Amino acid sequence: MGNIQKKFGYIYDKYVKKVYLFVYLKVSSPEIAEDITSRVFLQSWNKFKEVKDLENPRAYIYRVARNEVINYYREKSKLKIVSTESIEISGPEPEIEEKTQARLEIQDIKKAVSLLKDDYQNIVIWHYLDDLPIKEIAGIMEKPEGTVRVMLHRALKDVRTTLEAEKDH
Amino acid sequence: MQEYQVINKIKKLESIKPDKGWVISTKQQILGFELDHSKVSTLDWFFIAFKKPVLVLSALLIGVVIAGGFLFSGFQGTEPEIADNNDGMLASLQNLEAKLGEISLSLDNLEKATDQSQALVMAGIIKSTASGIEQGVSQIDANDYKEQVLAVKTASKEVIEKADDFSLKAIETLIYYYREQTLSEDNQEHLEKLEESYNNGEYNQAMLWIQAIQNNINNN
Repeated sequence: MGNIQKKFGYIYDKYVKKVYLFVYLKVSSPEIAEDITSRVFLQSWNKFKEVKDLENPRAYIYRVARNEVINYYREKSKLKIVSTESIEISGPEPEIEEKTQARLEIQDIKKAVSLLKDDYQNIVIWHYLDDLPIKEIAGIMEKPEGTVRVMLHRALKDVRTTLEAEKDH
Repeated sequence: MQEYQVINKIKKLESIKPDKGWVISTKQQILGFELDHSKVSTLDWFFIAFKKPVLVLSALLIGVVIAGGFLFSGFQGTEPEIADNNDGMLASLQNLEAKLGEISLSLDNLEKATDQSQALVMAGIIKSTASGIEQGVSQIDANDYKEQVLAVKTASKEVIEKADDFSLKAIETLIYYYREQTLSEDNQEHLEKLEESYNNGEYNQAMLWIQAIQNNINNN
């Protein structure tokens, strides 16, 4: 395996799970998330081969992921529907009741995040699940840092409102 | 609900992960180093019969080592009757090339071994044996054997490259496997170091960490 393949291999290992999660939270289907994530990395690999390196691979990959999700919805004209399908939860096997509870809790959170506006969703996922600093998110979204901070604050507020409403039901 | 509680809940989404098999196969497809399953080794039936690829490979290696030893000792003059015999030397070189070819095909089957850490050790032995053969035949400069020496060197190179590719994939598979396991504190540290070595391209060091993890697992 060549050096360039090894280099891209590290990038793939580092980001594949995060990109999958990012896509999955937007499309709510493991199969579609796998398909889109594959395309994201294939496109990134082609770019990587062309330029021999990427200055900021994470930012580039997320830009591609974002565009691929937009294309998916554009092409298929699909509505975002929050899936209630089971979610694979990793880690030690909890008792059935705990496991069911954990699944339900994750479904509620997933639903709350899925209901956010697209930009809000991106910021929440990137900042809290991918640990991207605000500065980098601002770069990817081509928005001022201050704007991103305000959007993040509003997004959290919306998630809290949805979660509290779920709890009351 | 406080803001930090909302954040903690969002962080729980990290438990959603893609299928491990999909992660590995997608990487192989994108980077284009998937195996050519259409190649059928004449040794396939051995693996099917014994289901112990490591044993078969060990046997093959012994064969290669013996063949190599026979050839090189002959060439260095300790067995002049062989060195002086063109047919004997050519036959030895041809035999060596054929065995290297078989080993190269058999490396594909190593991926199917249940114990990837053991398979990784075997790939290391195969690589060093092939490297030894490559260096050994380089000392032969007799014009009579030029073509056959080149063929053995090419076959050795192919085995070395395949062993490297397999080792890399085995290390990745083991990293994914260990990540999904409940590891002891010691092994958790070893895993972190293993990932660090792997990310830095220090594959020999990565193999040592795998060995350390396996030793701990076996001793517990």
